[in-house]
Amino acid sequence: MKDIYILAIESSCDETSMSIIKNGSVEIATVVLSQIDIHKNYGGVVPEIASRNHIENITIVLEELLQKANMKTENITAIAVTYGPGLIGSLLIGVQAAKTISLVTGKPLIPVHHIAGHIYANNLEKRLSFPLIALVVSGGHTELVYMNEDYSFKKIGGTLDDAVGECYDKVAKVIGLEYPGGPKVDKLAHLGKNTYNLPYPLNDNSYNFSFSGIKSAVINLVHNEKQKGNTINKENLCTSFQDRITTVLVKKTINALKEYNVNNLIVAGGVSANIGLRERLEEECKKNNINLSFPRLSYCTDNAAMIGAAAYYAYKKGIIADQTLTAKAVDNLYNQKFI
Amino acid sequence: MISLFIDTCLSDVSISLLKNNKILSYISNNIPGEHSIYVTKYIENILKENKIDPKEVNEIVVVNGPGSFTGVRIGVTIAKMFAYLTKIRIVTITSLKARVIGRQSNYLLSMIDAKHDNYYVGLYDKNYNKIKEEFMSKDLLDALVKKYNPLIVGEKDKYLIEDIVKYTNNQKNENPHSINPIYLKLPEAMEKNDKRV
Repeated sequence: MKDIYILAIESSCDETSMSIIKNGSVEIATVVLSQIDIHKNYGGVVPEIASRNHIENITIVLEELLQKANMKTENITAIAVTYGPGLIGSLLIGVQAAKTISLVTGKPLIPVHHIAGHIYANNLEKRLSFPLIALVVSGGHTELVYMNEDYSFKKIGGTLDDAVGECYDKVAKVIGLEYPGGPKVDKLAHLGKNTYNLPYPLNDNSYNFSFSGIKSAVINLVHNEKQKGNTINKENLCTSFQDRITTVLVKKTINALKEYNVNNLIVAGGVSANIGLRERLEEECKKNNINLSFPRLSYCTDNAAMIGAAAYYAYKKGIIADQTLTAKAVDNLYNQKFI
Repeated sequence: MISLFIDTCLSDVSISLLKNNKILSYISNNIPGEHSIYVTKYIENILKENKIDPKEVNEIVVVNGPGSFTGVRIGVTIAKMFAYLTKIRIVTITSLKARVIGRQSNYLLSMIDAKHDNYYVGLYDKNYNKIKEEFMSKDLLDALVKKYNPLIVGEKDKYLIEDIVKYTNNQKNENPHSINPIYLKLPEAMEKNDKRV
């Protein structure tokens, strides 16, 4: 069979990234240009500033990618792009760029859902085995997804309010850690003790999550201690917070695996880099004889390599867009057939 | 010489294909909020209609703002990517200057509503040399009109596309990597941060 090379573009938030992936699993080259240092000054991603940076970088990133891969656009089989969900102004730059490349080269255009990309980041490590359950945890998502074959997604449960990564970043902000603070909370959590009395977020038998309650609990606790003139033990607070979050995430994930009689678990999204979560899952999966897969650390955050991996399987399913493809800030992964 | 003219700065989108500065076809549509869906489709259609392959286009003339931030970015992204891939000539012209090209007067002023009694304003001499291109309040605009007594071109006045493309013939070729929108206005978050400093 002829090799399929996909040129993938990801610009859904504050990373301008492009990648060339062969046959859905072999990375030829990837370029990721992060704007983190720019947005740090504002305590979070400013959408208008992100868009302005994407447009400045878009052709430069492509040139760097082609040089790194030592390839020309003629050697590419198809173009893939994240069309959503994400920041609309950021997504639009990637989508317009992808449509233009498709128009000029005559190569097909594959629309990829951002979460499908995060899931397929695991395919760059090891071929996915089905059926599987994916725990998607990032700054914008917290979901449990069931897959019985490639590019077929069934949602089992998800967050009812904040995403887990968003909750981490907000907690980090309250205790004075610089944006993006989530990874810093994880780091401090390994230095402290589980001493603070915090609630377990939506600790029921459903597969849904809710993180706004524990976020408010942390904010209130910090304010109350401040008013009393007490200092917060940041390490202990992070340890306690991380314990509640990972306890519930791990418990619900293991329950889902048991109920669906699945022994393959993949973790995806930015929070899959969280060491505390990795340790707890490794322990539980070992106990329950479950094959556990994480993306490599550099692919936990947003990147185009994962989009190129997912696109290969979308392409094999015939998911192709025409020149009217547009970006969608909000989109359901579970209606992929209707693109 | 085949030129592709692209303007997506405001809700009226204008795409034209020209041969030696004469229009072969043009598409002009009012599509508020739908630029991201239709602009590349229009380009695809206009090329097909004239049986011209994208690789046969020799130059791109793109209007790079000011206007709606997102609208401007759509046209500029397409234009710079197109020119980068095909290695053809690309030139930019602002939406303010494009409006006065082809019109005659000692002074010419073009204006685009920037909301809340503010305007994007361009002021040019009779040879279309720029005197000012700025984001300004209505008061400053009124003062400018009083001082120069210019011919005023508004955002609803149509572009004279053949004149614009001809005018850009003398402009220097630009590097696609460094082609970016002209916003004339900082993002709100940056304005606030500046004030804080």
